[in-house]
Amino acid sequence: MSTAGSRRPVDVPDSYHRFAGDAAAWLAAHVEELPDVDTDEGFAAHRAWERTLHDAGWSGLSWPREYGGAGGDVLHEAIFAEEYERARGPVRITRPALRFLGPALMHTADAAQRARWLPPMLAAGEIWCQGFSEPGAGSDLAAVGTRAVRIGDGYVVDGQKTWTTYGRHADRMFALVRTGPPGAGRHGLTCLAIDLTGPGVDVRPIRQVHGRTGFAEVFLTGVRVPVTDRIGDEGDGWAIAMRLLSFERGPDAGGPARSRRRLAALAADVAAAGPGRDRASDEREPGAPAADLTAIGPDLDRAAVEGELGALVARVHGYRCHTDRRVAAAWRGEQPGAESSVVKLYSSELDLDVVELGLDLFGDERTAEGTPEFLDLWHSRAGRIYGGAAEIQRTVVADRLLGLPR
Amino acid sequence: MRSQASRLFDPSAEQRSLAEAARPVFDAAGRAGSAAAPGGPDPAGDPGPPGPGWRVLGESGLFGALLPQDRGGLGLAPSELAAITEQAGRVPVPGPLVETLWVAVPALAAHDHPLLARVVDGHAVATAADPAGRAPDLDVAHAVVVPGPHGDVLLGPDLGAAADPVSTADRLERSFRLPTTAVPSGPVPGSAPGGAAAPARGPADRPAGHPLPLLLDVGAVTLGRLGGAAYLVGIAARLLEIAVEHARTRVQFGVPIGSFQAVRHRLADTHVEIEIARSAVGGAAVDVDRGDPVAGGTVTCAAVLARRAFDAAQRHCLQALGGIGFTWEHELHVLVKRGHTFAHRFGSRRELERLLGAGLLDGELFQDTAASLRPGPPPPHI
Repeated sequence: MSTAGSRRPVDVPDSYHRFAGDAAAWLAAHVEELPDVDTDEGFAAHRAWERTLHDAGWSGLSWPREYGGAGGDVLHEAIFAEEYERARGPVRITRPALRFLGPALMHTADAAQRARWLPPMLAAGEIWCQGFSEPGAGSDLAAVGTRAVRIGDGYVVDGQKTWTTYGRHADRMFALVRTGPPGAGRHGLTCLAIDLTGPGVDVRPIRQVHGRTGFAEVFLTGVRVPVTDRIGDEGDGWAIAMRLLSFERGPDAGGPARSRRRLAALAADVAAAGPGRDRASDEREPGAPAADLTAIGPDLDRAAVEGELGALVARVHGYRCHTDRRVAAAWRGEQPGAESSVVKLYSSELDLDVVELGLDLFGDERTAEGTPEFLDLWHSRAGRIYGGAAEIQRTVVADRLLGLPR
Repeated sequence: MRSQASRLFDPSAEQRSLAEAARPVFDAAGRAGSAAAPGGPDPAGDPGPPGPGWRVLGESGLFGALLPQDRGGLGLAPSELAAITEQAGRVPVPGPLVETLWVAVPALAAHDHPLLARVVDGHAVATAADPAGRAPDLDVAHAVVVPGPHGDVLLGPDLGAAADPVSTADRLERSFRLPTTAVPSGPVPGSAPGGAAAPARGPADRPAGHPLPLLLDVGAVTLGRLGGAAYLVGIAARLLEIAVEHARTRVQFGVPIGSFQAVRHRLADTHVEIEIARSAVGGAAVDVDRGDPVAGGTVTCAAVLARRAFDAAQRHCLQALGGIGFTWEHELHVLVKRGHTFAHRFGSRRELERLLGAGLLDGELFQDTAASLRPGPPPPHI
């Protein structure tokens, strides 16, 4: 039986399908494994890779051409993000810049600033970081206390930022500081672009539970910032910060691809170790940790493991469908809003459940220090915190999506 | 795997208004249904429609949703019907609604069956069994679609006398099990993981009945499972709506209980599960629109997520309502009991999860991901 009627799938012009094919082909020819991004050598290699991406036209796909972008749209970004994860491309150190710092500048910085900052940001010539969180302002961002005092044609900044991603390597910080009186909450906040290579800046890497130093503390002592590096007007800081966060909330098509990869890797280990499989035919790479289900007993209940994996298959698929739906809405022109909290709550719990099932099945050796699973465990666990703690996300859902009283 | 660009789906304004337009029909059917006792043959002598609400639905033309317009139907795509079916779940009425819309009408149409017109206008009842042989309204059905190991078949008429009633708490359900001799034996594709046999019942020979083509290129099990998932999402969404309204207005300790974090977070978590399930149903429905071979798997994912959403909704919403949710006159228990029916029809969550897990371990799912450059989880972003 055939059905008439219009179809709900979005009709995507052929050019996008060709774009996907071109991206996949280019990535297959160019992606290679880079040294660990958490070393100086590795970061330099990732920076060079960003340059390669940029020069080949794959960076800033939705950015206007005047800033060195490709002049495409959100669907180009989504297609490339998925192909990139599928090709197992290196970590994008420009991720904060591309996803939200740059777009926020496009909407809030003046023409001279945009011309000065955006092209080098895109080409990874200048690395930017976000300077919002402070020791006393985590979930409660309006408690920001770093002071900026206007003196002559500039500001003098004193305070401390923390959890600054790539702070160790960053040249410039998109900072939220207090120009008004202390304790005024959302009022009296201002955004500054702070040169982190100048005097008065002390960057101290934070050693995290997994031994890496992706975050830093940034101490600012009498740091002079010219007024030409103020983003927007004095007192507009909160509105600009919210604008920035709205870009951060856009759909990330790479997220479901990473979750799929996490689950597929676990499934491959279970399949290799599970009952009825010939261990001799195990084709794992030499040196890879052995997957041995007998670690939890020879009478492992295969049906129970299948059930747990199957639940994760459904959830990973649901995450992808939801992202597909959000990409379509964004492509139609809908602004991302509070519903990004739905995604954050769902995906962070899902990723953690995948990692923890691996830990349950294979024991603590799986997450021994230095293994990829060790990094993944702690990184996934942090997903319940960074970008807004799960409790804050639930509050956003309750307030803005359900309309519950405060 | 299809690329991102070819997986996008998004209801157009027209399609959204279609689903909205169906709401009053279900509301009217619900009112008609509650005015009379559900079930039992029609006193006018017609062969027993499930109730007055059923007539309202039949008169709306809805039952012909998947029939092409040139055959008197609405000519909707499965993805459009999924959105409408979710609305139906918000106002459940007695009768084999999901089975009629998604399975029986396409099956009768495939055979150009003489019953088709009467089923579409609500004057005759057809139904569909799930792989376990359970089906609603079998005693009054003139035809029933039964999934089998060698394909789906159409049985009937005169099943009524042999149907075994199954007891249920669902006020809107008249549940039956097919007589064992009528059920095809052997595992039904998509019904049991890892080739494990479905519960054996009846002789091994093929049942009497008319073999059906693969309905909409995916078959009766996948269609029934998808329709049920959409319906279950609707039930869960309605439960949440009731709980949110209650949390806004119920005052304790001098404030609405919806201001307490313990209540807010439970309801927020429920919303998250419902939204993801809704997206999965939409995505799977689009796969069915296309007759995509992945539809069997993606519909199963959607069915699992709909069951998870309902689990969260019934647990948290009943809690938020407190004592009033446990009273007979409140509609909550009707929805929860209806949800329990659909959380098990066409496979329980446990069965479906195992089906997916077995598929994953056998390398049938995620092939593209598993075949990538090197094994291992993704590297940290920070």
